[in-house]
Amino acid sequence: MRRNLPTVQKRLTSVDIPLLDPDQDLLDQCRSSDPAAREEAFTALYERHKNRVYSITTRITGNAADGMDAAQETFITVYRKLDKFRGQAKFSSWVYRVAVNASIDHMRRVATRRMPSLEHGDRALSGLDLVRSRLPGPVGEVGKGELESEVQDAVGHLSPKLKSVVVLRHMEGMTYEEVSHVLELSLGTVKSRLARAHAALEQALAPVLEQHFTHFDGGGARG
Amino acid sequence: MSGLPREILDVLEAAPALEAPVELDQRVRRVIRAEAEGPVGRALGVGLTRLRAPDELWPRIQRAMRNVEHQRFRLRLMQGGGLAAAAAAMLLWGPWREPVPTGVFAGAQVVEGDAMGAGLLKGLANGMGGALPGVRAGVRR
Repeated sequence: MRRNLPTVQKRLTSVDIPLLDPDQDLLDQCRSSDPAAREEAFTALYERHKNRVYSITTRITGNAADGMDAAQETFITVYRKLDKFRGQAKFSSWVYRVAVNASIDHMRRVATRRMPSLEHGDRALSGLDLVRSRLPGPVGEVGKGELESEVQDAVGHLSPKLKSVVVLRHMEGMTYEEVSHVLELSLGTVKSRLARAHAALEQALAPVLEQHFTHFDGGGARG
Repeated sequence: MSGLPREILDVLEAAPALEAPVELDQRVRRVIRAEAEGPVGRALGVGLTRLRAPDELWPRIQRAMRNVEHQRFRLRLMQGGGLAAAAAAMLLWGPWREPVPTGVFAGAQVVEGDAMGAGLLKGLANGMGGALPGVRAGVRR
């Protein structure tokens, strides 16, 4: 009995991460030899993660059309590489990492060459749409809208590395640990990138903030 | 850790949750099905979705795709999505003689295939009404 104990403990430890992954059952089904079962399981995984993936890709690329292309690339990559996923990280972390990388790759591609005419029609979201505030407040609404637009513009000008951290941490509401898992970075690196991003944003937004504060101070809207 | 003013953080953190549009569902579903059909299907699936092929054309494309595969036609991606888009566009518009923006053909090249397969692509390309920049069809043995 006593001799078996370490074995049991070791076994529990070794299966700890896969057991905690809520996607594990579907991942197992995706490895089924039955094509219908595979498609069904992948569809379920897609349904589970599509909104977050689309949100990440759209925020990083800066518009809905590019976000959709990058989200599509994300799921194609995930589908192709599913067999190679060994569960060292949570499936969701891996998917979101693929989404970040797909977004950055997509931005590089469109920067050098844009597909003509049939892409990027009239569905691009404006910067304002991506951060349009859920904060209510009739007073100073115009100023708030301007600030949102300026903030989105400033985020859009961050380097892909810094933008990814800002999007995941502030716009997607992930913890530092989650950001660290998704980007495969140490906590220290996440924090230092975030600090650099904050500094860049603050510098870019200083004139707008000054104007904003003045506006609110003048109107007596700040509490 | 942040020196960022509260007003900016508020704006960032108040960003609304985005919902994936239905179009993404359709595109991913198509591409995943095309994936199961091998390399040609994969190229076509990606190309088709990039070109936003209308829903009603999809079954006809799939039939054409099977014909192409029957010719043991092989395509290699030479320029990312360019060839995929070109292959899809040829199958999509070729038989119907609709105008196609020529930019999507940049970089398309048949690098391997049998004579019939090459002829098929060439025929489709010619059916578009003339020379297409960057498109070459041939046999490599």
